[in-house]
Amino acid sequence: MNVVDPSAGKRWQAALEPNLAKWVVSVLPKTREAEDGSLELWAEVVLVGAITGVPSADRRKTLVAIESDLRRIMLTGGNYFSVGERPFVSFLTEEEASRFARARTA
Amino acid sequence: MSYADELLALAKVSSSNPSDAENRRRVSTAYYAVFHLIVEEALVLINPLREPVADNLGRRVPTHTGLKSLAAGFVAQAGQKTVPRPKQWAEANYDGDPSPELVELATKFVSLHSFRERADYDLGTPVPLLDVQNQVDHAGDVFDLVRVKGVPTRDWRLFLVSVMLLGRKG
Repeated sequence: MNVVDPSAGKRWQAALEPNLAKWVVSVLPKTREAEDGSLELWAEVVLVGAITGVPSADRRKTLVAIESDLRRIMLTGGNYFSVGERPFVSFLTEEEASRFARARTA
Repeated sequence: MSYADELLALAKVSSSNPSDAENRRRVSTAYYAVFHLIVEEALVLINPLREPVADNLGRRVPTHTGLKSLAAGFVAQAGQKTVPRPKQWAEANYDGDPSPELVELATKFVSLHSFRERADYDLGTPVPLLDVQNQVDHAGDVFDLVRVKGVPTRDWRLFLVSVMLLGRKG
């Protein structure tokens, strides 16, 4: 996925509901061209590591709520991207983000 | 237990320290569970007596790209002013708004399709465990929408007819 405008992620993060924002470390926008040529806009959301300690049912509710709120924000949040892109959300923990970053630089 | 149910059950199984291959396989299996669920539902509609040869013929109609293209028609796009609906429905002069349940189902299908492409082919991009869990949960949500909550009947029948008649097209 290609990085779009990283500052858009900060704006999306700032627009999150406060009770959801407490779980979010960062939001990075990325675009992806699907196999059929359609464009997808992805918000890559890094969550605090403590999310993994939350009981699974509550964690599920939190992810669903963040995903729903972010998709709403991405659809209405301004002209940071091309008209026509469909927004989706991807999650990882801050530990995974660090591990993947180390793997990329190794 | 149907093949789709078995696939979903497999996708839910995780070891305590999963490998990258296991994470990718779970995402792919969750996607295939939903794909086969939708195709089976469409077969029930067009082949209610479940004649085996007709079932086999019908299973070969929908393609992954065609079904994704159909489902993507229900997913809102940035800057879109109207309620999203597939272009094929507009061409058939149907301008009814799809139900929230069908939009949710289609959105989760497209998300699963995209993750499945990444999991199966984009080996350079890691598949985080939270994404695996989220996509497997999405697949479970689709099963609940179809089997428990239910998509409004007219919407669901139109969608399933579209799967069989349009699901081969990109």
